[in-house]
Amino acid sequence: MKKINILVSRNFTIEPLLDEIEESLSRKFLKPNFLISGYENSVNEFLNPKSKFYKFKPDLILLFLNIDAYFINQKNKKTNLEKKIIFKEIKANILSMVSSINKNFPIDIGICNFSDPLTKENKKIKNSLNTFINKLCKKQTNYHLINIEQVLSKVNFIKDQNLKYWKQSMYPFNLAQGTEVSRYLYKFIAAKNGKSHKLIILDADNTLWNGVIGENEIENIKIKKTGREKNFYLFQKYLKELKNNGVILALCSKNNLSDIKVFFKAKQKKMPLSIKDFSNLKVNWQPKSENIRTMLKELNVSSENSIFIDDSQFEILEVQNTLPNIDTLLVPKLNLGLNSELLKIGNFDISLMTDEDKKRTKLYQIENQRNQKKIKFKNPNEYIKSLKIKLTIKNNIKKNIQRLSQMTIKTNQFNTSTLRLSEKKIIGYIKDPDYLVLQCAASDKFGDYGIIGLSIVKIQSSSKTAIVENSLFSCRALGRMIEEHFYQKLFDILKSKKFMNLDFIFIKSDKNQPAYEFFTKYNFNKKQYKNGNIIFSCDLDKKNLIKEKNIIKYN
Amino acid sequence: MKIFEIEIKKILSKILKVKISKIKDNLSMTSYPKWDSLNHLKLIIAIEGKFNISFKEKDVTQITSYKLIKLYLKKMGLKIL
Repeated sequence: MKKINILVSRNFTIEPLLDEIEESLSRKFLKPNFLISGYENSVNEFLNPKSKFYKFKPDLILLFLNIDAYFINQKNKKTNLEKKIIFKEIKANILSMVSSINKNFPIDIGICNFSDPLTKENKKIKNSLNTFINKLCKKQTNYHLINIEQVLSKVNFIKDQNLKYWKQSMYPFNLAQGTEVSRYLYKFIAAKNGKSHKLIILDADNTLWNGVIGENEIENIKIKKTGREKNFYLFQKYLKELKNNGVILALCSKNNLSDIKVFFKAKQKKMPLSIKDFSNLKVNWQPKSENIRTMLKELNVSSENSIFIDDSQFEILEVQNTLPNIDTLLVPKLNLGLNSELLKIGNFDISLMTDEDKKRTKLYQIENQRNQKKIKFKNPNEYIKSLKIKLTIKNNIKKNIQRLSQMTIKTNQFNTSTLRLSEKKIIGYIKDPDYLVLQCAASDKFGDYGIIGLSIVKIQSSSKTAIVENSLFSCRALGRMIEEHFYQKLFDILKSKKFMNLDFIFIKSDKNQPAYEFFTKYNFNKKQYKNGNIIFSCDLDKKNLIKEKNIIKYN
Repeated sequence: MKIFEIEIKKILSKILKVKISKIKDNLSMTSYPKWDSLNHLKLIIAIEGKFNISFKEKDVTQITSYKLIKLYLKKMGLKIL
């Protein structure tokens, strides 16, 4: 379980939402620890370095404000001028809170916009404040809009219930609203911790289309924009949209592969999806759990980042039994309401998708081509040489900052410290003369790997030792001598700056064994570090990771 | 509508962090410190959600013990088995 400290600054009761959020997060191996502010203004606590906010060391801050809470003790009707003054006061309050947070806590901040007020006369203020919050959230990459207004627009306001809870305890949501807000917040927190959905695994018959290939004639399995098959068409369209935004699609069905291929070809002009939209196909008669296990390994995605969709309860249970952390969705009859169900449980976090993500399907297809070629080589170095890999290593540049931050959040296996860094934090390192921030991109004859490596190195001119505080590699590039060449380049840069030693701080996690093995393989000196962590160090003059030259070229 | 007493007890147990076997009629806001105003709100929300009912606004502050919860549920026409 990964612990996350979440600081909530609020002016209304939010506690009833937390149990559900906590429960959902635990299924993703996340254990939130909430510190909830009082109902009054929190600016002073954010400004005071001795406050409990500081001691708490939050990983994420959430700001929750409610318009009615500002009027709770004001019984007289307000004039327009008074309302304008109140609007300015609330705006100033938000600004001072956000700027004090931003100054003292360089972490992600979720800023919730305002839900509809209980009294209609405050609706105008609410709308103006939401416009202000929308603009505010676009100003900094670590500000994120928590769009409560949009979430609640889909759920009915029940006057009696809403008023009852509000008067009783300043809780502004009714039952259904509370459920939706909890779900939304859970998704937000999960996504901020790298637990969004990356992969949708789909059954074929009666899931993507209405009918069974092999039992029904191809021409009788129809996909149409209208009528009974409309929902299947819309479902495919939604999947295509997700795929174009970087979500990986995979097919896992009990059919003959040749039949599936013929079917996709026959329907290519009528269906939104084509067979090329799937990054991985497991079309055979093996148990689906086995196929999905292999698929996850091949795609290097974990089960908790995946959703499995099937029309058979048996298949759903069989997969759930073997892979309990996978999210599943049973297709309703005639696919009724599947899109909205997928919207409900899916956490695709498209707003966080980088250009790299959007190319993901293509990247996996290229990887398949590489793997097919790999089989032909007995000597791994010969295979790597044949790929004609070119590395581009850049130092202290702000380009690709979103991808760099995202890599720190999503990379688990080759990650020396698993420090999750916001874009703002990385920019801070780039600007700091005591740090080197190296990023690495690669390409080969099959295509582009994109940005795949990052090292954040502390360089103190007074000392002859540089310290790598965080270093990571995307799994898709591992085992091709890329990491060796990247580090060798880092050694050269440091040697040119007269450094003699390099230390890698290694903080062990549940998943970063591959990084550990790398340093052990190359005989780095292992020393104990504070808090039970390790340092892998090397003498820069003596260390050479590249035995065979010219396998990989630098751009 | 018929409901099982254990369903009510499970809600109390989860929110108040009390063992089901310890839930007796005398369990109340005054006798059990964890049953504070916030947990009271959580209880009301959970009970309303579970049994698809809505307590009257004036009753919410009156339902301050396990015995009273059952009484008000009966008042709303639920039969507790």
